[in-house]
Amino acid sequence: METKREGRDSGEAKGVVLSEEQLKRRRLRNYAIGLAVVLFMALIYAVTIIRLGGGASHPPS
Amino acid sequence: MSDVSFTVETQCGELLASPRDYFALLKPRVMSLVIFTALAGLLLAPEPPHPFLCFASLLAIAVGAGASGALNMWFESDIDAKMTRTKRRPIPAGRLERDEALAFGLILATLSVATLGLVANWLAAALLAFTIFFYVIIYTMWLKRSTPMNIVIGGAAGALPPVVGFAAATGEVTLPSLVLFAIIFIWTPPHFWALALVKSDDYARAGVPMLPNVAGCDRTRLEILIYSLLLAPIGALPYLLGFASDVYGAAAALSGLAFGWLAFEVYRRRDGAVATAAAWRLFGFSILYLFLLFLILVIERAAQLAA
Repeated sequence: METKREGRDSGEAKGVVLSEEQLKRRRLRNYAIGLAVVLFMALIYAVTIIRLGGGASHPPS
Repeated sequence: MSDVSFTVETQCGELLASPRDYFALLKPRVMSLVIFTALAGLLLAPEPPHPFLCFASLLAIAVGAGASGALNMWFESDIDAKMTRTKRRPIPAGRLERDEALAFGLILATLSVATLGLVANWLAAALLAFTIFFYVIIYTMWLKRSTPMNIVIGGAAGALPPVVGFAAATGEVTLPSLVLFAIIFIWTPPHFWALALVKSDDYARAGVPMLPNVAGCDRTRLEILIYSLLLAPIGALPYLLGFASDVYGAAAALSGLAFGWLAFEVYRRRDGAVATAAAWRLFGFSILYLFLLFLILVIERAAQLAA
């Protein structure tokens, strides 16, 4: 599959034009990165709550 | 001004990589074994932490193992392209650039070590960092291409996950986790050499000095037998040292004997299809052996904690 770069067409540069398959794969990668970031945030949030929760219910004397 | 229209091949081959290609970089099958052995280490702790902290620690360890896999594929893409077993991996297949794998591996390695440090403790994080360092720098970059003992020394990287898991739960490294380390460490050479006996042509083509290519198949068969006989008593150590049940002891004894017998078959049958079949049998059984021992440890300990 090819990536097409069209030059000035009627005075307007279109830049790199990705194929449908490439666009689909880029979209999937973006979804995966987004999901990973959300899950990582949720993980850190949950760990923080658990650690703080333990400390709050058993404060150091 | 005339129209300019031209095509540009993407740098990463015909298609851009999909998430599946990045996932393949993590060596998911190796990762699953790492999760399993690290879980055994975690559960061996006298008082394992909150279940979610265990889960988060395992996730960090798994991602660290995946980062090692990505960095390994980054460095070994030349070898991978020459071996039938590995030539369909994302880099040799042209779906990913080496630099992309390097960046992916480095980011995941950093994140996994930092996460384990924050979720568990910094001893576990340091051990995870050392594991990644050992696998990538010591094994992949140095030993694998320079000595037929690559698997013996490099096996330490694969044996460390239960130590990391135990350290994540307890903040220390003590005898139980070192016993699990020893089991995997001694198990690794006969496991990989059985595969190397069958795939010696592949390794020779790639220029990897595996034992059969350097010292010959007969010497490899002898080494397999020696390590397999050493493995039987070491596999029984959790029972002998009192942190596994009679069931584990019986399973370790029986499977250790079977391992020794299959290794003896590899030693005895040296030519033709029967020799190949014997090596495949040992390779397949070695996976079952390790899985069985760690599964019993995990189930027993989980049952104890639930009770």
